[in-house]
Amino acid sequence: MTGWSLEAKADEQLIAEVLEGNSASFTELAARHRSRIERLCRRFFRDDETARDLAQESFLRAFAALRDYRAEMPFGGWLRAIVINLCYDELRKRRRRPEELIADFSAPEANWVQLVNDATPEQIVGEAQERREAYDLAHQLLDSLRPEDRMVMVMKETEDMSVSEIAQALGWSEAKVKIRAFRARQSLRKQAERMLKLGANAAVRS
Amino acid sequence: MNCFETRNEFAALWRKTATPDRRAELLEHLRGCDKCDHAFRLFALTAPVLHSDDVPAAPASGSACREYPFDSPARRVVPIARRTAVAPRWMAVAAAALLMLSGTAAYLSARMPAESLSDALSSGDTDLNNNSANQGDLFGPDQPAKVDDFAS
Repeated sequence: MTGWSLEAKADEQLIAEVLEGNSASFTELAARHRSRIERLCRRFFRDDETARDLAQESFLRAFAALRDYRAEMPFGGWLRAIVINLCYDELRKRRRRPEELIADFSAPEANWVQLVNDATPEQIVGEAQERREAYDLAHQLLDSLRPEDRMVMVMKETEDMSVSEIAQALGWSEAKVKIRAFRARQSLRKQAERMLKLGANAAVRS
Repeated sequence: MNCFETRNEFAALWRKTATPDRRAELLEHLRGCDKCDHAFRLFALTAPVLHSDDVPAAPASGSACREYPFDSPARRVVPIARRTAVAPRWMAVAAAALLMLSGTAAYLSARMPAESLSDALSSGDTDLNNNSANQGDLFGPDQPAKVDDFAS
Protein backbone atom coordinates (compact mmCIF):
# COMPACT_ATOMS: atom_id res chain seq x y z
CA MET A 1 0.00 0.00 0.00
CA THR A 2 3.01 2.24 0.63
CA GLY A 3 3.85 2.89 -3.01
CA TRP A 4 0.39 4.22 -3.67
CA SER A 5 0.38 6.97 -1.07
CA LEU A 6 3.89 8.43 -1.20
CA GLU A 7 3.02 11.14 -3.66
CA ALA A 8 -0.49 11.83 -2.35
CA LYS A 9 0.10 15.49 -1.52
CA ALA A 10 1.60 16.37 -4.87
CA ASP A 11 -1.17 14.42 -6.56
CA GLU A 12 -3.74 16.57 -4.82
CA GLN A 13 -2.09 19.72 -6.08
CA LEU A 14 -2.16 18.39 -9.62
CA ILE A 15 -5.78 17.39 -9.25
CA ALA A 16 -6.65 20.88 -8.07
CA GLU A 17 -4.96 22.29 -11.15
CA VAL A 18 -6.87 19.91 -13.43
CA LEU A 19 -10.14 20.93 -11.81
CA GLU A 20 -9.25 24.57 -12.40
CA GLY A 21 -9.01 23.79 -16.10
CA ASN A 22 -5.37 22.92 -16.60
CA SER A 23 -5.71 19.55 -18.27
CA ALA A 24 -1.93 19.32 -18.86
CA SER A 25 -1.57 18.57 -15.15
CA PHE A 26 -3.50 15.38 -15.69
CA THR A 27 -0.86 14.26 -18.19
CA GLU A 28 1.72 14.60 -15.45
CA LEU A 29 -0.54 12.77 -13.02
CA ALA A 30 -1.04 9.95 -15.50
CA ALA A 31 2.68 9.70 -16.26
CA ARG A 32 3.34 9.35 -12.57
CA HIS A 33 0.97 6.43 -12.14
CA ARG A 34 1.14 4.79 -15.56
CA SER A 35 3.73 2.12 -14.84
CA ARG A 36 1.94 0.95 -11.67
CA ILE A 37 -1.38 0.84 -13.44
CA GLU A 38 -0.04 -1.06 -16.44
CA ARG A 39 1.71 -3.52 -14.14
CA LEU A 40 -1.55 -4.10 -12.31
CA CYS A 41 -3.38 -4.67 -15.61
CA ARG A 42 -0.72 -7.19 -16.65
CA ARG A 43 -1.53 -9.25 -13.56
CA PHE A 44 -4.93 -9.84 -15.11
CA PHE A 45 -4.18 -9.99 -18.84
CA ARG A 46 -1.33 -11.68 -20.59
CA ASP A 47 -0.95 -9.55 -23.68
CA ASP A 48 0.66 -6.17 -23.29
CA GLU A 49 -1.71 -4.47 -25.69
CA THR A 50 -4.78 -5.28 -23.60
CA ALA A 51 -2.98 -4.15 -20.48
CA ARG A 52 -2.07 -0.84 -22.10
CA ASP A 53 -5.59 -0.34 -23.44
CA LEU A 54 -7.12 -0.96 -20.03
CA ALA A 55 -4.65 1.37 -18.37
CA GLN A 56 -5.52 4.05 -20.90
CA GLU A 57 -9.24 3.48 -20.38
CA SER A 58 -8.87 3.76 -16.64
CA PHE A 59 -7.11 7.10 -16.98
CA LEU A 60 -9.92 8.33 -19.20
CA ARG A 61 -12.48 7.25 -16.61
CA ALA A 62 -10.47 8.85 -13.85
CA PHE A 63 -10.32 12.09 -15.79
CA ALA A 64 -14.06 12.04 -16.41
CA ALA A 65 -14.81 11.33 -12.76
CA LEU A 66 -12.17 13.56 -11.21
CA ARG A 67 -14.76 15.91 -9.72
CA ASP A 68 -16.06 13.00 -7.64
CA TYR A 69 -12.63 12.32 -6.16
CA ARG A 70 -12.43 12.98 -2.45
CA ALA A 71 -9.06 13.62 -0.87
CA GLU A 72 -9.75 11.30 2.08
CA MET A 73 -8.05 8.52 0.18
CA PRO A 74 -4.85 8.74 -1.90
CA PHE A 75 -5.35 9.34 -5.58
CA GLY A 76 -3.40 6.14 -6.31
CA GLY A 77 -5.86 4.07 -4.28
CA TRP A 78 -8.81 5.72 -5.99
CA LEU A 79 -7.27 5.08 -9.39
CA ARG A 80 -6.53 1.50 -8.45
CA ALA A 81 -10.19 0.94 -7.57
CA ILE A 82 -11.13 2.17 -11.06
CA VAL A 83 -8.59 -0.18 -12.68
CA ILE A 84 -9.70 -3.14 -10.62
CA ASN A 85 -13.34 -2.65 -11.55
CA LEU A 86 -12.43 -2.20 -15.19
CA CYS A 87 -10.32 -5.36 -15.22
CA TYR A 88 -13.05 -7.26 -13.40
CA ASP A 89 -15.61 -6.22 -16.04
CA GLU A 90 -13.22 -7.24 -18.81
CA LEU A 91 -12.53 -10.62 -17.20
CA ARG A 92 -16.23 -11.31 -16.90
CA LYS A 93 -16.82 -10.23 -20.49
CA ARG A 94 -14.18 -12.61 -21.76
CA ARG A 95 -15.34 -15.57 -19.77
CA ARG A 96 -17.65 -17.08 -22.34
CA ARG A 97 -16.00 -20.44 -22.64
CA PRO A 98 -15.21 -22.87 -19.84
CA GLU A 99 -11.62 -22.67 -18.67
CA GLU A 100 -9.21 -24.99 -20.26
CA LEU A 101 -5.82 -26.15 -19.27
CA ILE A 102 -3.56 -27.40 -21.99
CA ALA A 103 -2.27 -30.79 -21.06
CA ASP A 104 0.69 -30.85 -23.41
CA PHE A 105 3.11 -27.99 -23.24
CA SER A 106 5.25 -26.34 -25.87
CA ALA A 107 8.93 -27.26 -25.62
CA PRO A 108 9.92 -24.14 -23.62
CA GLU A 109 6.88 -24.52 -21.34
CA ALA A 110 7.69 -28.19 -20.72
CA ASN A 111 11.28 -27.20 -19.93
CA TRP A 112 10.10 -24.63 -17.43
CA VAL A 113 7.72 -27.02 -15.64
CA GLN A 114 10.44 -29.64 -15.60
CA LEU A 115 12.82 -27.12 -14.09
CA VAL A 116 10.28 -26.22 -11.41
CA ASN A 117 9.96 -29.93 -10.66
CA ASP A 118 13.65 -30.72 -10.48
CA ALA A 119 15.81 -27.65 -9.87
CA THR A 120 16.71 -26.08 -6.54
CA PRO A 121 14.68 -23.07 -5.34
CA GLU A 122 17.62 -20.76 -6.10
CA GLN A 123 17.82 -21.98 -9.68
CA ILE A 124 14.07 -21.60 -10.11
CA VAL A 125 14.14 -17.99 -8.89
CA GLY A 126 17.13 -17.17 -11.07
CA GLU A 127 15.68 -18.68 -14.21
CA ALA A 128 12.14 -17.31 -13.88
CA GLN A 129 13.19 -13.73 -14.57
CA GLU A 130 14.42 -14.63 -18.03
CA ARG A 131 11.63 -16.88 -19.18
CA ARG A 132 8.55 -15.57 -20.90
CA GLU A 133 7.03 -19.06 -20.82
CA ALA A 134 7.04 -18.95 -17.01
CA TYR A 135 4.92 -15.83 -17.21
CA ASP A 136 2.62 -17.35 -19.85
CA LEU A 137 2.10 -20.53 -17.85
CA ALA A 138 1.38 -18.56 -14.70
CA HIS A 139 -1.28 -16.67 -16.63
CA GLN A 140 -2.64 -19.96 -17.90
CA LEU A 141 -3.02 -21.17 -14.33
CA LEU A 142 -4.71 -17.96 -13.25
CA ASP A 143 -7.01 -18.13 -16.27
CA SER A 144 -8.46 -21.31 -14.78
CA LEU A 145 -9.91 -19.30 -11.88
CA ARG A 146 -13.31 -17.67 -11.85
CA PRO A 147 -13.03 -13.92 -12.47
CA GLU A 148 -14.02 -13.01 -8.92
CA ASP A 149 -11.56 -15.51 -7.44
CA ARG A 150 -8.81 -14.13 -9.63
CA MET A 151 -9.61 -10.58 -8.59
CA VAL A 152 -9.33 -11.46 -4.93
CA MET A 153 -6.13 -13.44 -5.52
CA VAL A 154 -4.40 -10.59 -7.33
CA MET A 155 -5.56 -7.92 -4.91
CA LYS A 156 -4.50 -9.93 -1.90
CA GLU A 157 -1.23 -11.33 -3.19
CA THR A 158 0.18 -8.57 -5.33
CA GLU A 159 -1.39 -5.43 -3.91
CA ASP A 160 -1.27 -6.61 -0.30
CA MET A 161 -4.78 -5.35 0.21
CA SER A 162 -6.63 -6.30 3.37
CA VAL A 163 -9.96 -8.11 3.33
CA SER A 164 -11.81 -4.90 4.19
CA GLU A 165 -10.03 -2.95 1.43
CA ILE A 166 -10.93 -5.62 -1.14
CA ALA A 167 -14.51 -5.69 0.10
CA GLN A 168 -14.72 -1.93 -0.24
CA ALA A 169 -13.17 -1.87 -3.71
CA LEU A 170 -15.48 -4.56 -5.08
CA GLY A 171 -18.57 -3.69 -3.08
CA TRP A 172 -18.71 -7.12 -1.48
CA SER A 173 -19.11 -8.26 2.11
CA GLU A 174 -15.95 -9.25 3.96
CA ALA A 175 -17.30 -12.77 4.35
CA LYS A 176 -17.61 -13.08 0.59
CA VAL A 177 -14.04 -11.88 0.12
CA LYS A 178 -12.79 -14.47 2.61
CA ILE A 179 -14.72 -17.26 0.94
CA ARG A 180 -13.47 -16.22 -2.49
CA ALA A 181 -9.89 -16.03 -1.29
CA PHE A 182 -10.14 -19.49 0.22
CA ARG A 183 -11.66 -20.97 -2.92
CA ALA A 184 -9.12 -19.23 -5.14
CA ARG A 185 -6.23 -20.67 -3.16
CA GLN A 186 -7.75 -24.16 -3.19
CA SER A 187 -8.43 -24.04 -6.89
CA LEU A 188 -5.05 -22.61 -7.79
CA ARG A 189 -3.26 -25.19 -5.70
CA LYS A 190 -5.19 -27.98 -7.38
CA GLN A 191 -4.38 -26.68 -10.86
CA ALA A 192 -0.72 -26.09 -10.01
CA GLU A 193 -0.42 -29.65 -8.64
CA ARG A 194 -1.91 -30.87 -11.88
CA MET A 195 0.48 -28.82 -13.95
CA LEU A 196 3.49 -30.11 -12.02
CA LYS A 197 2.27 -33.68 -12.52
CA LEU A 198 1.80 -33.11 -16.24
CA GLY A 199 5.29 -31.65 -16.41
CA ALA A 200 6.70 -34.69 -14.65
CA ASN A 201 4.85 -37.00 -17.05
CA ALA A 202 6.12 -35.03 -20.05
CA ALA A 203 9.66 -35.39 -18.74
CA VAL A 204 9.20 -39.17 -18.39
CA ARG A 205 7.84 -39.41 -21.98
CA SER A 206 10.73 -37.49 -23.46
CA MET B 1 12.56 -20.82 10.99
CA ASN B 2 9.36 -22.85 11.03
CA CYS B 3 7.12 -23.84 8.12
CA PHE B 4 4.68 -20.97 8.63
CA GLU B 5 7.44 -18.36 8.62
CA THR B 6 9.07 -19.99 5.62
CA ARG B 7 5.92 -19.86 3.53
CA ASN B 8 5.37 -16.23 4.47
CA GLU B 9 8.82 -15.45 3.07
CA PHE B 10 8.32 -17.06 -0.34
CA ALA B 11 7.47 -13.72 -1.94
CA ALA B 12 10.59 -12.09 -0.44
CA LEU B 13 12.72 -14.94 -1.77
CA TRP B 14 11.13 -14.58 -5.20
CA ARG B 15 11.52 -10.80 -5.31
CA LYS B 16 15.05 -11.09 -3.90
CA THR B 17 14.19 -8.69 -1.11
CA ALA B 18 15.06 -11.04 1.74
CA THR B 19 18.25 -10.24 3.66
CA PRO B 20 21.16 -12.64 2.99
CA ASP B 21 20.81 -14.21 6.44
CA ARG B 22 17.07 -14.64 6.08
CA ARG B 23 17.51 -16.05 2.60
CA ALA B 24 20.08 -18.56 3.82
CA GLU B 25 17.72 -19.66 6.62
CA LEU B 26 14.90 -19.99 4.17
CA LEU B 27 16.87 -22.10 1.73
CA GLU B 28 18.15 -24.24 4.57
CA HIS B 29 14.58 -24.90 5.67
CA LEU B 30 13.50 -25.73 2.11
CA ARG B 31 16.33 -28.26 1.78
CA GLY B 32 15.18 -30.06 4.90
CA CYS B 33 11.37 -29.83 4.58
CA ASP B 34 9.70 -31.69 1.74
CA LYS B 35 6.31 -30.07 2.33
CA CYS B 36 7.66 -26.54 2.16
CA ASP B 37 9.82 -27.45 -0.80
CA HIS B 38 6.74 -28.71 -2.65
CA ALA B 39 4.76 -25.62 -1.60
CA PHE B 40 7.52 -23.43 -3.01
CA ARG B 41 7.38 -25.24 -6.36
CA LEU B 42 3.63 -24.65 -6.52
CA PHE B 43 4.21 -21.02 -5.59
CA ALA B 44 6.82 -20.72 -8.38
CA LEU B 45 4.22 -21.59 -11.02
CA THR B 46 2.10 -18.51 -10.33
CA ALA B 47 4.78 -16.17 -8.96
CA PRO B 48 5.87 -14.86 -12.38
CA VAL B 49 2.50 -13.08 -12.56
CA LEU B 50 1.64 -12.55 -8.92
CA HIS B 51 5.04 -11.68 -7.48
CA SER B 52 7.23 -10.36 -10.28
CA ASP B 53 7.34 -6.69 -11.16
CA ASP B 54 8.93 -7.09 -14.57
CA VAL B 55 7.38 -9.06 -17.38
CA PRO B 56 9.89 -10.96 -19.50
CA ALA B 57 9.92 -9.71 -23.08
CA ALA B 58 7.75 -11.61 -25.53
CA PRO B 59 9.62 -13.61 -28.18
CA ALA B 60 10.14 -11.77 -31.47
CA SER B 61 7.55 -13.88 -33.24
CA GLY B 62 4.92 -13.04 -30.64
CA SER B 63 3.70 -15.17 -27.79
CA ALA B 64 0.88 -16.61 -29.87
CA CYS B 65 3.37 -18.28 -32.20
CA ARG B 66 4.89 -21.03 -30.18
CA GLU B 67 7.16 -23.89 -31.15
CA TYR B 68 6.17 -27.43 -30.44
CA PRO B 69 8.35 -30.50 -30.67
CA PHE B 70 7.55 -32.46 -33.82
CA ASP B 71 7.69 -35.80 -32.04
CA SER B 72 5.18 -34.84 -29.40
CA PRO B 73 1.64 -36.18 -29.57
CA ALA B 74 -1.15 -33.89 -30.66
CA ARG B 75 -2.00 -31.24 -28.14
CA ARG B 76 -4.89 -32.33 -26.03
CA VAL B 77 -7.21 -29.87 -24.44
CA VAL B 78 -8.56 -31.11 -21.16
CA PRO B 79 -11.68 -29.33 -20.00
CA ILE B 80 -11.63 -28.43 -16.34
CA ALA B 81 -15.30 -27.73 -16.06
CA ARG B 82 -17.90 -30.22 -17.18
CA ARG B 83 -19.75 -27.63 -19.17
CA THR B 84 -19.06 -27.88 -22.87
CA ALA B 85 -19.76 -25.54 -25.75
CA VAL B 86 -21.52 -28.23 -27.83
CA ALA B 87 -24.80 -27.34 -29.56
CA PRO B 88 -27.87 -28.88 -27.96
CA ARG B 89 -29.07 -32.25 -29.28
CA TRP B 90 -32.39 -30.91 -30.48
CA MET B 91 -30.54 -28.83 -33.05
CA ALA B 92 -29.08 -31.95 -34.67
CA VAL B 93 -32.50 -33.62 -34.76
CA ALA B 94 -34.09 -30.50 -36.24
CA ALA B 95 -31.37 -30.28 -38.90
CA ALA B 96 -31.89 -33.94 -39.88
CA ALA B 97 -35.66 -33.47 -40.07
CA LEU B 98 -35.24 -30.37 -42.21
CA LEU B 99 -32.92 -32.24 -44.55
CA MET B 100 -35.40 -35.10 -44.94
CA LEU B 101 -38.28 -32.74 -45.59
CA SER B 102 -36.39 -30.76 -48.21
CA GLY B 103 -35.31 -34.02 -49.91
CA THR B 104 -38.85 -35.31 -50.01
CA ALA B 105 -40.12 -32.00 -51.37
CA ALA B 106 -37.48 -32.02 -54.10
CA TYR B 107 -38.34 -35.59 -55.07
CA LEU B 108 -42.05 -34.92 -55.21
CA SER B 109 -41.63 -31.76 -57.22
CA ALA B 110 -39.65 -33.70 -59.80
CA ARG B 111 -42.17 -36.51 -60.07
CA MET B 112 -45.51 -34.72 -59.71
CA PRO B 113 -47.11 -32.38 -62.28
CA ALA B 114 -46.53 -28.74 -61.75
CA GLU B 115 -50.25 -27.93 -62.15
CA SER B 116 -52.07 -28.63 -58.97
CA LEU B 117 -55.22 -30.71 -58.84
CA SER B 118 -57.29 -27.78 -57.66
CA ASP B 119 -56.16 -25.77 -60.70
CA ALA B 120 -57.11 -28.59 -63.03
CA LEU B 121 -60.54 -28.98 -61.47
CA SER B 122 -61.26 -25.28 -61.39
CA SER B 123 -60.49 -24.92 -65.09
CA GLY B 124 -63.50 -27.17 -65.87
CA ASP B 125 -61.74 -28.69 -68.83
CA THR B 126 -62.26 -32.43 -69.00
CA ASP B 127 -59.87 -32.87 -71.79
CA LEU B 128 -57.05 -34.91 -70.33
CA ASN B 129 -54.91 -33.83 -73.22
CA ASN B 130 -54.13 -30.75 -71.14
CA ASN B 131 -52.31 -32.91 -68.72
CA SER B 132 -50.22 -34.74 -71.25
CA ALA B 133 -47.82 -31.86 -71.55
CA ASN B 134 -47.39 -31.79 -67.82
CA GLN B 135 -46.82 -35.50 -67.68
CA GLY B 136 -43.91 -34.90 -69.95
CA ASP B 137 -42.71 -36.61 -73.05
CA LEU B 138 -41.18 -39.44 -71.14
CA PHE B 139 -44.45 -40.74 -69.75
CA GLY B 140 -47.17 -39.38 -72.07
CA PRO B 141 -48.64 -41.34 -74.94
CA ASP B 142 -47.71 -40.35 -78.47
CA GLN B 143 -51.37 -39.81 -79.34
CA PRO B 144 -53.06 -38.32 -76.31
CA ALA B 145 -56.29 -40.04 -75.30
CA LYS B 146 -59.53 -38.11 -74.98
CA VAL B 147 -62.49 -38.72 -72.70
CA ASP B 148 -64.60 -39.54 -75.71
CA ASP B 149 -62.32 -42.38 -76.68
CA PHE B 150 -62.90 -44.07 -73.36
CA ALA B 151 -66.60 -43.44 -73.51
CA SER B 152 -66.88 -45.31 -76.73
